[in-house]
Amino acid sequence: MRSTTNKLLMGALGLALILPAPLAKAADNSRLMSFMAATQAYNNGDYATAEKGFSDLIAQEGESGAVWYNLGNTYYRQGQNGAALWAFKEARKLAPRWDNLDTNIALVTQKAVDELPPLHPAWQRTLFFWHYIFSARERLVLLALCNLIFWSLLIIGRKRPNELTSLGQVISLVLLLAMGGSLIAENFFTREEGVIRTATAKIHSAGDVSSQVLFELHECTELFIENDQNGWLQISLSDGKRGWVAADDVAYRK
Amino acid sequence: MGKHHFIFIGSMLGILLWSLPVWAAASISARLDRDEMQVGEQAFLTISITYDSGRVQTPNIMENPHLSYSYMGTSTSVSIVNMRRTDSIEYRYLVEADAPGDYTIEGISSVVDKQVVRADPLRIKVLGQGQAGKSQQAVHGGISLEATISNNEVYVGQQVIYKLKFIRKNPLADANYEQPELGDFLTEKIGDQKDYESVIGGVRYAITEIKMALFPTKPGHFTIDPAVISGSMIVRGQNRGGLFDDFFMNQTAKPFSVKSNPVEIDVKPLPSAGRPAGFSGLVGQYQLGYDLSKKTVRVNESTTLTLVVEGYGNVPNLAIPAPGNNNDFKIYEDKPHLDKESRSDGIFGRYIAKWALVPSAPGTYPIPELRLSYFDPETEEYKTLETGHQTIEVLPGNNTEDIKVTGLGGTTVTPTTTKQQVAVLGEDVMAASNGDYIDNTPLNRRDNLWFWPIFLLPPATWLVMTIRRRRQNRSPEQLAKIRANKAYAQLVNDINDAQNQASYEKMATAVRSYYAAKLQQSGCAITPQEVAVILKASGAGAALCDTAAQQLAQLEKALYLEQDAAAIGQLAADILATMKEVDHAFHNK
Repeated sequence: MRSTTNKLLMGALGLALILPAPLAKAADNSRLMSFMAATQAYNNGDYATAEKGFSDLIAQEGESGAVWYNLGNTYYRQGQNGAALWAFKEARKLAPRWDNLDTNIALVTQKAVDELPPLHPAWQRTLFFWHYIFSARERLVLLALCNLIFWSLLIIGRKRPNELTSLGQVISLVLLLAMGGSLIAENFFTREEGVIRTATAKIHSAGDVSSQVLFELHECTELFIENDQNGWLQISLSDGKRGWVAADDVAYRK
Repeated sequence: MGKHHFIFIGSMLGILLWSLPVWAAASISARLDRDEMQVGEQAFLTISITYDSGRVQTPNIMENPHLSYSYMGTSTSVSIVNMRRTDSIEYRYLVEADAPGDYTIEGISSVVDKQVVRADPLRIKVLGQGQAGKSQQAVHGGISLEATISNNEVYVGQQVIYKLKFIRKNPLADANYEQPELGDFLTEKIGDQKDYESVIGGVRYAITEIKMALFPTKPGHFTIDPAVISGSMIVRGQNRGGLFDDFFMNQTAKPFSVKSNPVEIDVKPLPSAGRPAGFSGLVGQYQLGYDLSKKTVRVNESTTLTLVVEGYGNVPNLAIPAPGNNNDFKIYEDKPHLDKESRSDGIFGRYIAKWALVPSAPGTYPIPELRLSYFDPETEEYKTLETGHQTIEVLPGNNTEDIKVTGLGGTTVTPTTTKQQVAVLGEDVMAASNGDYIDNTPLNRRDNLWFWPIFLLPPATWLVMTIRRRRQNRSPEQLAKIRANKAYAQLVNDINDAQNQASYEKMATAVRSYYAAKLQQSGCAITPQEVAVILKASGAGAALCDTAAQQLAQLEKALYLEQDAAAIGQLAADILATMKEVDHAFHNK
């Protein structure tokens, strides 16, 4: 009786693992077709349709590096440099080593008028380079891989201890901690970012149009978003300035 | 070396040291507390001189037949930064005018240890009595806020000065300023707010002026909404005239809110007639100056072309197109530099651009011409500033820099370098993606399905293997101890099994196994007498010792004599109860 029960359980587990695969594949095909349709609209110059297509994909959890990249191009074609920069930044999170993307970001960034230090200082990008050159998924895969290597070497090292396995353990542990720390930082300590999308945006002392205007920002200025309240965003800049701006003036992930 | 030599050297050193203060840094600046006043009113002129050391002479001011300057005193201060001392001295003057007009206070200078320092001239507008703004003629309720604009009819991009004048009789406890909505204008603040006093209708008022430069961004008729200042002012309450009335106790804070007048402005579009090609939208009045550091250079030597454009207008639009592609020079552009200065009459900008020109072959070459077009709203026409036609003479380079190549037949050929900078002809984003990185998706719930099992499996495996290895490596003592700890639970199981099987033999074996495990001995041949001794040594009571021994004896007897199978249940229950107490005795030992 016990063996029959075990067989039934194993069969159910196998089905649970296999069954979602065809469904997932169908969803991927549908997403790819929507992407190609929106890209075709872009290539034909129908930017409004292309923008809707890419935005719908993102809203329906079909986003990818290519979707955000093409959306950025679409915004650029429509003269919305701020929105384009934001879309390119979202694409870079998913495809961080894409040369075309770097070129587009450099092109749009130079249109920024406000002189501010970069949101992520150069020392941070250098010291924690793996956080910026690998996407979150790649870091997750590396984390799983380093974890496997580390524990395997630990098991092997018990039976055949030598310097090579010890060194391998240390290296894999360091990589494991680096990838794990990066993912934890991304999930818990990363601030949301946005980009000014209007020609001029006034920054107020409170989330109220009648409050004191503290300063003005211009299109393509990058900022951190601290809070979201009643159609206003509390923002901070890389030089420490803070204030409130109308949400419509900012391109950000709602 | 004789005595005379020392005297000579010492004198030279002394002169050197004495003359050092001449090289000390000194600077002078001048400012007025207001840029507009009436005949009969005063403005304060402050001249500040900063210097490292030495003597400072009283400043000179060029005389003006309509302006008089009354000396009001000086103040000095010292600062020490990074072990370096800097002194400052301020001279204050009262400036009065005897006739209306626009005046320039110029020739402000001083001498600091034989070094002449000069300040920029200042401008002040003097109005006749009765020409003052409406608010100055009738300040109702002791408070008013007036908004004025320098020009009500302007062109797109033309600079206009928006001025707010806040006049009040009573001092303020606090104030909050609400700027009007200026969405259709680019704005730049002009200096800090100016505070001064003025007498209007025989009453002294405190006045605050705030100025902004506005640059309209599109044509049309616009109304700038009123600005609002609110807060509370300190007013004196009624003095009842009592003996103990105190002046300060009679002051209260009274809330106020004052709104300025709206301001109308007509913005005209820039004329399309006569608009030069490449016009960048620059509006204002500008001048252009340029300089070539060296007009004669050698091949591969550089000369710097510096261009300065300055003037009043929408200076953020100031940008000079770079020199185009040139076969005669390599052109390296330095980062251009825009300085904005808030002056009383508006925003003044100075744009400085530099290019290094490196000729590649000897000869005489024209310098790349640079042009800048702007619209002058005063003359209402487009103007173009040009550097004009200039040439540079390039001499052959030094021998070490000439490269000679031996050609066919042994002749020497000097190659000419024809490389040039890549000219940027346009800019655009890269082509859309047709599917690159379509699979680079963000993390989602599905990732949990594969990640957590893969992540937890290796450490779980390691843990299982570690536990198994430790169990295999246990010593006999450890195993005996573990068996002893589990002895009672094993006994209960064995007794229940024996009862189910109605087996006195198994029950006896279970009891003997229990004692063997507790005593960490192999084998189970213990006798009832030994049980009694062991329990007594463990501190169990005499009754318990006897009971346990009797039960074991009863079991042994049952092995050899036929027993009632029905009685095994009662015996099992009795044995379990007794063994429970025995286990407590062993535990408390």
